[in-house]
Amino acid sequence: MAPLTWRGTWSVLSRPRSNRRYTALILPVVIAALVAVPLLLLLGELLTPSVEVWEQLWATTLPRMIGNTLFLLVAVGLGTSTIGVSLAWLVTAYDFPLRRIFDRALLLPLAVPSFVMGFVFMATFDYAGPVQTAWREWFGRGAPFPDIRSGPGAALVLTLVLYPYVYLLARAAFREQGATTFEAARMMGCSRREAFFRLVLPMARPSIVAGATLAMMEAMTDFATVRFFSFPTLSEGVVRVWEGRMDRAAATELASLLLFFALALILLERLGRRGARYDQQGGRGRRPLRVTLTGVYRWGAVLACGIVLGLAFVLPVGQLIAWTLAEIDGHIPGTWELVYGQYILTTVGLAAGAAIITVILSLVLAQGARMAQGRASRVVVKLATLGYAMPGAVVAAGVLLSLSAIDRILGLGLILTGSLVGLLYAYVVRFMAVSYNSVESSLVKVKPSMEQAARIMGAGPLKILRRVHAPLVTQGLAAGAILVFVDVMKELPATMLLRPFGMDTLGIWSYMLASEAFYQAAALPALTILAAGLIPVLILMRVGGER
Amino acid sequence: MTPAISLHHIHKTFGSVQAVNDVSFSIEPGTLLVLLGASGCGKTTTLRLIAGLETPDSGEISINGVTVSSRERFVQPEDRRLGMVFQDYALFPHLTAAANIEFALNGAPVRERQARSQEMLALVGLESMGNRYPHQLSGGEQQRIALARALAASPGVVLLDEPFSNLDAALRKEMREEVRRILRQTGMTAVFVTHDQEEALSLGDQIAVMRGGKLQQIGAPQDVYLRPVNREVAAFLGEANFVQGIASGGQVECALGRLPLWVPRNGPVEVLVRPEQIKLEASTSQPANAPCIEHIRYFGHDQIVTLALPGGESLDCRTWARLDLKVGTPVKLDVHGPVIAYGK
Repeated sequence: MAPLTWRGTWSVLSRPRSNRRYTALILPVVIAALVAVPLLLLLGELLTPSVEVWEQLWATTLPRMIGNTLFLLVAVGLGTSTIGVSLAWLVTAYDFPLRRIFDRALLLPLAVPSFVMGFVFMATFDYAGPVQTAWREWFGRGAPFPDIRSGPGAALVLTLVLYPYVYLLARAAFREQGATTFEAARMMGCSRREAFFRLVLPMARPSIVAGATLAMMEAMTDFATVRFFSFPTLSEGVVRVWEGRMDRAAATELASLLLFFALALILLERLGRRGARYDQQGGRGRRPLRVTLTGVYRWGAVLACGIVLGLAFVLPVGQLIAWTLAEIDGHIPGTWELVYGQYILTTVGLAAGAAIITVILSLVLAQGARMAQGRASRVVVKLATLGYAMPGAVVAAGVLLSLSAIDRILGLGLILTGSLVGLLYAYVVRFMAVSYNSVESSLVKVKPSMEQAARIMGAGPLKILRRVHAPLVTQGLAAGAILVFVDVMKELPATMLLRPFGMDTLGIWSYMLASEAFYQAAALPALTILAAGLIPVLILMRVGGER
Repeated sequence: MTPAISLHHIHKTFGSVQAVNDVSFSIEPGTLLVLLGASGCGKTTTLRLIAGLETPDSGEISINGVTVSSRERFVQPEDRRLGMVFQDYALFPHLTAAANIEFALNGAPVRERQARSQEMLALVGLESMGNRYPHQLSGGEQQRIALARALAASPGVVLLDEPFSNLDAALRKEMREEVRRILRQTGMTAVFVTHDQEEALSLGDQIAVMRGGKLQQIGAPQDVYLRPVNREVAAFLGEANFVQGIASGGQVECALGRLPLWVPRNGPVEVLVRPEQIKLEASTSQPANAPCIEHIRYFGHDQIVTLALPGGESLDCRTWARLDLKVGTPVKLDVHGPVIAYGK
């Protein structure tokens, strides 16, 4: 065979490089510092409390806020676990009419922002709403009806939009368990019920804890829903103190206390997932045979799924559509479109900007950590993705602390603090984990041996990036970008606190209108956010659906 | 003639592990060298050092007369003109088989690249598979494409890192023949890493046996099999009996009688006797002072007969699948050829 002429050169590029592992970590460390500094500064606030502020807070609303926050966390944790686990087991182990549809559709509420659910619920079930009005007509004026404007009301609303986190993870865990364990238990004399409580549930514990913690973190960051329901929590307190009295010092102190709660929650998750690796040996892919439900159970199962889905998705979507149609009907043509277009432009610009920055940073982070490997890089990644557990108000307060420090050093006035930089910074901190996870999992597809093979075939770093990495990770990058994009659209607290003057997003617009009880006007922006939120959920439904 | 590859006192440690410890060897162009050893013996590290995927702590490596790794200089892997087949093949999943091969032909005109990749596909017998993606190919086919890709740019040396470990036994034998044919046909110098001694013996022109980071022996397959330098190499390469004996000059006295030695020795020794070196005959002598059959493992094409020697030692012999040997019967035995002995 004729040898091919070799075009490469015997260039001696460098001396032996042995410390490449450490240089690879430089950029990831910078990113981790970017994320961690605001939180550390805030932690510093907690360690150096200003006594007067705390005395004043303690004497007024603080005890109530702490109590409410704890109540909300416990209630949402228990509520989402109960609903999520029950529904996940129902669709995994039993068969009933419409099961295949419910299996996926039960994820839909993930697309509904909690504050939207909040004001729809308020409008529907409050004293003046259609439900209570009908109730009074049937049972008389004095007929008792539970007060919806309360802690349990807020917890119910949050549970309805947050249970899919538990549902998703528990369902995946149940499916992965496979048939063998369950069948072995049955052979040893366990009933289905016993096998569920003694084996299936304990084995799925790590996933359930992870899901419930995610739900609780979301509940902790919420300020709008609890405000609709007159149930002030710490998050609500930070926002209220910040905007109401422009009292940054008190707001920061409150935020640092909230940070403490968030850290406690992370710790709780670690404890709850301890010993978490229950790897399944064999029996994969085969599921225990589904039991076909009969009689009252059959329709009970349909009803259970139907009620949850109806309350958590059909009700808000239907109501929002009805309001939107009424609103468009009643409007002078040509005016609201302009306003609406303006908000869309702002929101999309902001969300796209944040998505691009976050994805680029997480790509750098993931690639650096991958090259460096080892314990140090795992710590760096943990730090850089800490923001997902932090309430928006905490991130906002931390970002403000660090940026105003820089502003002070620069001495040019509030150039960073009052600008877009602060808001984008907060989004990056808050949503880094979301995009990191999808970027990292797509990067895994590029095996180290592929990079080495490319090098041996004479490809330089740039060519490897272009020809090998790029085609393989594009999907993961896009997924990460979409997730961040949608999360930014839904984000309220950080946007509320850091947005430059006069710059409102769809979410803020909708929230403001709803808080003044202009529900009908609030419906269109809310519906827009919801529609955008459906994109990742639909993808999730396709991917996670049954084979 | 300049050696195709030469290693000069190469050391490499990972943390506290001495992965490669003072390894030196060189091979002629066109040789197929097999690096053989148990896992963790340093054979893969040696290969990766040649590839430039690891940097040695000290020592020199040169490829076709060019120093690629030394204290002063280090040629990057992409500039070493090598081909490499990875254990997991490392095919690019987003490229077709043909495009995978063309990847290696960096910089050549499109027409030439396509022609060359067709030529390579033909060489590995997969002309019609060029448009398939790796996931549409079987394990053996992926293996062939990986080999075609490694050979496409006419590299100075091809490196193969346990390429058959993901294949089942039957396919492994077939691929062994195929790889040998292709490497012979192209006249390529190759370094092949494996832990399978049968694979090594049947494939290599030269075999380098490694153990604990050190090179134990390098030589032709016959050489390392019949004249291993030490007990460990002997035991690693195939089945081995060790019989106690007393050597004096070119002969050794042991339970099998007086045997000639390859290498003269004196004093107490252990004698290496391969099972197939022994010829068995049914004997009429009394069981008390003749070797007796203790146990038979029957494989069909042959059988391993375990003997109890009068001195208390036991001995494995390989014979054809004859039926006249029974457990308990005394036998007469005869050892073919000279043997090798190790001092104690």
